[in-house]
Amino acid sequence: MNERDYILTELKEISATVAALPRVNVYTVDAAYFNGVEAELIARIAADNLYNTQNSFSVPDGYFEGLNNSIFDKIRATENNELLDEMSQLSTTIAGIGNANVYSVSPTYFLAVSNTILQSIYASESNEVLDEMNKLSPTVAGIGNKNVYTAPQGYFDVLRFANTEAPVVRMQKQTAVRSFFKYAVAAVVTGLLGISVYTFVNKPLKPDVQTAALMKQADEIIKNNSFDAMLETISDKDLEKYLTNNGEDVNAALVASTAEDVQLPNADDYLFDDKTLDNFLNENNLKN
Amino acid sequence: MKKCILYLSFVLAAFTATAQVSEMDDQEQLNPKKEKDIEALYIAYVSKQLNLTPEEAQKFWPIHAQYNEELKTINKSNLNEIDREQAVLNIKKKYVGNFNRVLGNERCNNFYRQDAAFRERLRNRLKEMRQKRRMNNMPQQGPTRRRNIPQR
Repeated sequence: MNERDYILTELKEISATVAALPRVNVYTVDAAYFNGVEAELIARIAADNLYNTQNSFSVPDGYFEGLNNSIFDKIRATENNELLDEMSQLSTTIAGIGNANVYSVSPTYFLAVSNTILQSIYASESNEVLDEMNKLSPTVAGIGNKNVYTAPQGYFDVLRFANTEAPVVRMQKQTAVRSFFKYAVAAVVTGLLGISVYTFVNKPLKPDVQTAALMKQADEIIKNNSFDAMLETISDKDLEKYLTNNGEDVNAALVASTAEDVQLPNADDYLFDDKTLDNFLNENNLKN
Repeated sequence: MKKCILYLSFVLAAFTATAQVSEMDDQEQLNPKKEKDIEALYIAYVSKQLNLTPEEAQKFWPIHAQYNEELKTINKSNLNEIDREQAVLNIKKKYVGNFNRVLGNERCNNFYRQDAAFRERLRNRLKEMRQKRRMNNMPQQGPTRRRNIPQR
């Protein structure tokens, strides 16, 4: 089997119809077909170019330059008509104004407006301030806006300042001896201060005049050995009062001291006589 | 005559009333001179018992004057007895340091003992005086009491 047979077999498997076609050239043209084909192709190409060049969706030159304005004009015209209709229904007066600018000022208005506003503010404030100042101090109010701090012409030209350079303090080198001396002086000063404070706080009291007189009298008593003699000059009332003033319950103290010296009544005595205690106190003169 | 008797009665009543007021004053007020005498006796007694030198006395008695003033203030107050004794004890404790600096610890303790001893001495003197007065006022006849109480 040769190669041709293989191809035929395969073609049959693929398409029996095609395989059954006879070996005839079906693509045939006239003999003179290719004589005029070149000119015909060129003519057709030219015709295609002409067709492509002539675009049916073309606009005039400058069409898009005025397009937006024309669109807006159309919109405005539509809206204006609607707005005007609505405005006419609401207020014929306002509708009659139309698009005319009613807020107009003179051309030089804004050139002078700042000065005009400031002057009106100054005028109102100045009056209030001046009135208050006049009440507080007419002298100060009389000064007004005058500059009272003036210097003669050329004053600062002549004025000479002293040498204002900051003095340089040289730190002296610390030596061991110098440091010791410094601390020693500080210690001495602190010690003196401490001693002074201690002496001041613990300053011994001096006897006042009354105490000094009593001490002198006491010295005389000791010197003359006159304690008992002087004690005898003091009445029992004064002794009692002195003891009472010094917190002694004299009666209780006398009963206690007497009880040390004398024998108290027996317990039975209180049963026989209910005045036993009174008798005992009277016996020892301890009752007031 | 009746008017004269009435007049004399008024005069007698006024005199009696004046005398009673004077006696009450005597009872309430301690004679200032006698008070000074007793204080001088106190200083003499304590100085002698503590053997105070003049230098010590110069330091001690001014401190004692302050101490005494504080005690007097407490004794004049209306504290009840327990509170008064507590306040007195507090003052005594407060001054221990001051007295110690002058007297030393031992003599400081001795000072408080002698302070009490001086008052004891005054009480004994008061007791003696009252007993003496009682003996003087006793009637000359023998004792009428049911029992005799031993004397000192």
